[in-house]
Amino acid sequence: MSVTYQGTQTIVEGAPLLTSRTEAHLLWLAGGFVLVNFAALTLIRPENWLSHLLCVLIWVLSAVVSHRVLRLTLPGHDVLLLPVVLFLSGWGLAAIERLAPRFGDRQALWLALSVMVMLAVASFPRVLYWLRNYRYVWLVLGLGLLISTILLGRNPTGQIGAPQLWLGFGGLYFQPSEALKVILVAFLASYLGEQYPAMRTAQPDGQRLALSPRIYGPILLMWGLSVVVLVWQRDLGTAILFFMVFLILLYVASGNTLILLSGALLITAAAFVAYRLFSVVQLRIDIWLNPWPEAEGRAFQLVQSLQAFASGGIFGQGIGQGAPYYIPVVHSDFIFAAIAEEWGLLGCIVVVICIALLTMRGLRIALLQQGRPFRTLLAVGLSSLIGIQSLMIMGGVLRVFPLTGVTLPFVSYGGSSLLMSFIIVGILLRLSVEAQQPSI
Amino acid sequence: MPFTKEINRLLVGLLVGLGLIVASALYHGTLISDRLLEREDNARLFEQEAALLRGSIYDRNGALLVASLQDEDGFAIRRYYYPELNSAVGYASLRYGVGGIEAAYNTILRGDDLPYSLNTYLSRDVLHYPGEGADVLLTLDLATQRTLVRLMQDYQGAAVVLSVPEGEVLALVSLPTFDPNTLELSWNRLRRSQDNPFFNRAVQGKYQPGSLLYTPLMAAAIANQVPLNTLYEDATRAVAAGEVTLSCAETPPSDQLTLAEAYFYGCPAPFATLIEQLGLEEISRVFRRMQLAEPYPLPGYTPLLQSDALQTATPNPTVTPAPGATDAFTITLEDALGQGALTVTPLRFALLMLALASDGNAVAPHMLYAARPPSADAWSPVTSRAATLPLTTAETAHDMRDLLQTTVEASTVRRGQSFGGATALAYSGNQTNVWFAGYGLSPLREGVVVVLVVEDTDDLALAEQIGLRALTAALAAGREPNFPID
Repeated sequence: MSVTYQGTQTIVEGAPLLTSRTEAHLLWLAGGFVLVNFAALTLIRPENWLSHLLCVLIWVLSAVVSHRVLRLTLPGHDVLLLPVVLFLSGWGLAAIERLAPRFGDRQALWLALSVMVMLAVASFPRVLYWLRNYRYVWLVLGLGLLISTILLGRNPTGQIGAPQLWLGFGGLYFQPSEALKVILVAFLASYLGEQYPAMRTAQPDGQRLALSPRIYGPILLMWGLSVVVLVWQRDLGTAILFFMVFLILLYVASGNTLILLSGALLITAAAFVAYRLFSVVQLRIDIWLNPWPEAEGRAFQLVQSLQAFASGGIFGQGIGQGAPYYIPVVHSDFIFAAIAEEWGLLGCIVVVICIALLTMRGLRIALLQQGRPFRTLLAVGLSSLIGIQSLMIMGGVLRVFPLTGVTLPFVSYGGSSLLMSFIIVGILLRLSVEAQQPSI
Repeated sequence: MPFTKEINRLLVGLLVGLGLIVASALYHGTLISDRLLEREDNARLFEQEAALLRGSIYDRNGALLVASLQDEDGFAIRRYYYPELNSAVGYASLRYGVGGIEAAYNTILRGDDLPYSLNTYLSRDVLHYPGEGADVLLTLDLATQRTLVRLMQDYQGAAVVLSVPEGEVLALVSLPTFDPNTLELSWNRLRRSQDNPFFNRAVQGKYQPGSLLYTPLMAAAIANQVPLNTLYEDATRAVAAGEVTLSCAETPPSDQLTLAEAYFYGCPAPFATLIEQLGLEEISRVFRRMQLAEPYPLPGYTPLLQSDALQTATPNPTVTPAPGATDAFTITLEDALGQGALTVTPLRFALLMLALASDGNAVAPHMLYAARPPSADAWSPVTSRAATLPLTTAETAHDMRDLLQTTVEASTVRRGQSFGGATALAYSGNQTNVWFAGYGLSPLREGVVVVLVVEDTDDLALAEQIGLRALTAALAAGREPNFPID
């Protein structure tokens, strides 16, 4: 390794710390973990061996293909992203096979599809151009999806009174709000990427455009959109996620801390009104404040989740050895509680570290986009989506925050969620490569 | 770069949030985990219990009475193989708890007191195999119990058989009873039943003793050196005791009877005279020493029902006990004649018979011989420090044995064996109950005592017949457990 000085810049040459070989090594480690868990699961449930084998094969194929394709088509990409997300999705696959075996195969197929789409997105050179230059098309498409969900939305379970958040096509269901999250982040990154200089420019009186409609207009628009999602779809989690990610983007674009405070006030006000108006919000807040009197009633799911953490202890019960199935829909929103019970506190910490790593790498990619505000804000928005969504659901099952029905990215059962999470990774991978190219 | 500061702040904020998640997981997973897991709404506790393989229960000869099997879902099913044992063995139910022997030895049967070994750690904590409890070998004798239940099956009542002098419970019968195999389905019906099948009449049934008390009265007479051969005039006259009028149980050949003859025919008048002669204070003292009024609390047989009215087998006593009267033990003439507020349980009276059949002392009754950990082949004897209760003197016991020997007609006495016993009538409201209390001894003065009560009949011969057959069966069962013990 040699160090040369060019003017004021110091350039360190030599073997980079993280290489494609690192990615391969990490994938081997992740593969080992997935394999051991599926082997243990097969010992417990030998009758499901074929399904387990299918999951492992799909995972291994996904890892090998994605590693090779990325090495060929995206040299210099961030080598930590792929191993981390494949590790989490492999873990999720094992957990879903254990918790809801009939969904395991389906999730494995969604994984295969998601990885293919991720590779397509990451390898497509004009993806960022399209996202930036067709922002209004994306916005219209997103709003169209939202309206069509409001009008045609269904629930795959067919349960009366359950949120109608899915669009169905011939037995396949897709949750448009998942796509909407990415579309809105792309739109806002593009919009704010253009508007940010005005937001940061001081006015003649020394004040910035803190009260300009340019800032509060989009805020109110997003707040309105979140309210629509909340009122029509009763999708509390997505509504909060939309609004929080938007606030973050606006804050990063403007550098104005007041925006965060205003946003927090708006969230509080909305929460207060929603508590009064919507039973679902009232339920979530009531059981968050004190679940114990209704431990066998409305708070059953949350109390069982907390008991899963207690039952898991530090090292966990081992895959297939605990009783996380007492938690309703554990394979979806409460999969973190299942991990706590069967992989223990150590498992939880590993998941948190992975989420932290993803978020940090995403924000690092944002920081590397020198002089390209759209890309910076896009990376910030996408990383925040993963970070905030994970925080919301992990905090929800642990009673740190009120419960919001969102999935744990890459881990929970849900094809739409998995697909969009991998698309986010695909965009981040693309951004990580583009960051090395000089800005125009 | 314009966004660096904001992105760094965002990163810090997200990391703090994730740190909060870890802290909360740590808090719930370690600091308050015990509190969370002990909550009644923890479904995992239920599952753990449902999978627990309680130990098996054997009779003294190794007959398998109760065992836990595993169904295809891994849940344990408790099987009770002999309906005759149901009232003694009790029940173990996830929903309704435990009763009887299942309750008395619950800790052993659940394996709670087994040492925590490497094997336990591996099988329970690592591999999560269901917990296994230890087996227990009881002192109960299946053959004796079945004989008694078969003889009493058309009646309500209770019976106790104890070994002499060890105080081992060989049989413990309470009828009517329940089927623990179908408890989940029949619980509510059984709880509402007026027959009160969960109530163990042998241990908890506070019966009016009636003329059964003539036995301790005779012991009091002997202890006070009252001549038993003195003739009592007008010995067959009726005696008023509370709301009932007592007369001889059997018709004697003459109006003049000795105390011993009055005991044989169950005539109350000489005993009323004896009570006057000795004084109620002395009778109270003798009864108090015999602890007659105190039910003997055999572990495991705790009352299920809170209602006092349902806790007595004689819901319509001829005299309503005054509150605290039994505690103070201030007896009346009616009490001393067995028709007052003084009630006895069959087990308590069996203890008196045990004392009379031995040297005046009764070894506290017990039911457990040995236990066997899940992986062991041999039984380990359970060393119990059974208390000895001095109920009367050796001389009185000897004289009473002789007296009792004359009052029953034992046709099946084998060489060297001695049988003795007494039957008694007791009035309880509109109902009449019959008692039998007897003993059967070998020349070495080892044997058994039987006390039984049959409700709602005045057939003294029936009580005597059942009693003698129970004595014969119990003596034939052999003294030592027919099972290898370390």
